[in-house]
Amino acid sequence: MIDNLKAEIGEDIESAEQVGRELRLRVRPAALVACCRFCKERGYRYPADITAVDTGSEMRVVYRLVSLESGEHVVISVGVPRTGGSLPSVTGVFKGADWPEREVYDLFGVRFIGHPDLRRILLTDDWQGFPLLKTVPAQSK
Amino acid sequence: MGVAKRLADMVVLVPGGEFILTKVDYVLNWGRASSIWPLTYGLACCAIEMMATAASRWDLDRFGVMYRGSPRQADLMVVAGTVTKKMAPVLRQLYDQMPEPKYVLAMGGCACSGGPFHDSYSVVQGVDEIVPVDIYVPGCPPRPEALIDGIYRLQEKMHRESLRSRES
Repeated sequence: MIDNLKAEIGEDIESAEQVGRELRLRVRPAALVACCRFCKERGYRYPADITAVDTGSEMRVVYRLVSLESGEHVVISVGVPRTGGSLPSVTGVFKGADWPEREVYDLFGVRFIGHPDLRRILLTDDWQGFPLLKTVPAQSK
Repeated sequence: MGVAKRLADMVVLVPGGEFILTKVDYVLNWGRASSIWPLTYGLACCAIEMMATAASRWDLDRFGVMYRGSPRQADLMVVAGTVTKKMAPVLRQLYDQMPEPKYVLAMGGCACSGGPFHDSYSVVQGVDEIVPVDIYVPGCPPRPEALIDGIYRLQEKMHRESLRSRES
């Protein structure tokens, strides 16, 4: 699968490694949607989770796709800038990515271009900032 | 025994007659405290204990406590769980929809003070920031016995009320 993926998407795949029953991919933002579509066509139809990690130097948005038939996972990690970062939305591929993408926007501030309804989902609409960034102090008082 | 003793204090039999004399306050408070209908307001894990308290093992029904699914028919709001800032306006609206006289019981650490979510960016630090609270039941979550005790305390509070001086 790794060879097919590299043949189809090319050098936008930064790295790919198989760890047990999990395929870990690091891709560039430009290849994200194509990568998701590629995986969906091969049975990874269930976007189990979309989340993000603030590493301190960059923001990595992580997509976990599951094949319900084989039980295998694909984990796609995409790097964006820590503030003001944006990614193409994968709601065109996975309809269920709607709310998880809103959650990532709500808590980390990553904007998803092409998302049908990118509003805050958990916090109140008047909330300022994004609470899961490492720049936010753990204690407010 | 308890009821008979209290009755002796509060009720005067008219000799030879079929009438008793008592206080309006006492009768009203007795009725109110004996049929507390709480609004089901389960928000988190405390709701599981609240449901257990209402079910057969602890059986709140024997105290006249029956949960209602509508604020319009409720006397008491048992806030069982974590109130997020996004939930806060909803909670206030439901409280406003309840008819007087109404009471609020804050169940668990979260509803009392924010609990383990102290200083969180998304959690209300105690439901008393939004609505007036009559009884606090701490615990994480409180056992059903603790909730029953909280309802006893609320009944005691109701018995101390008077038509002339209801604090609300």
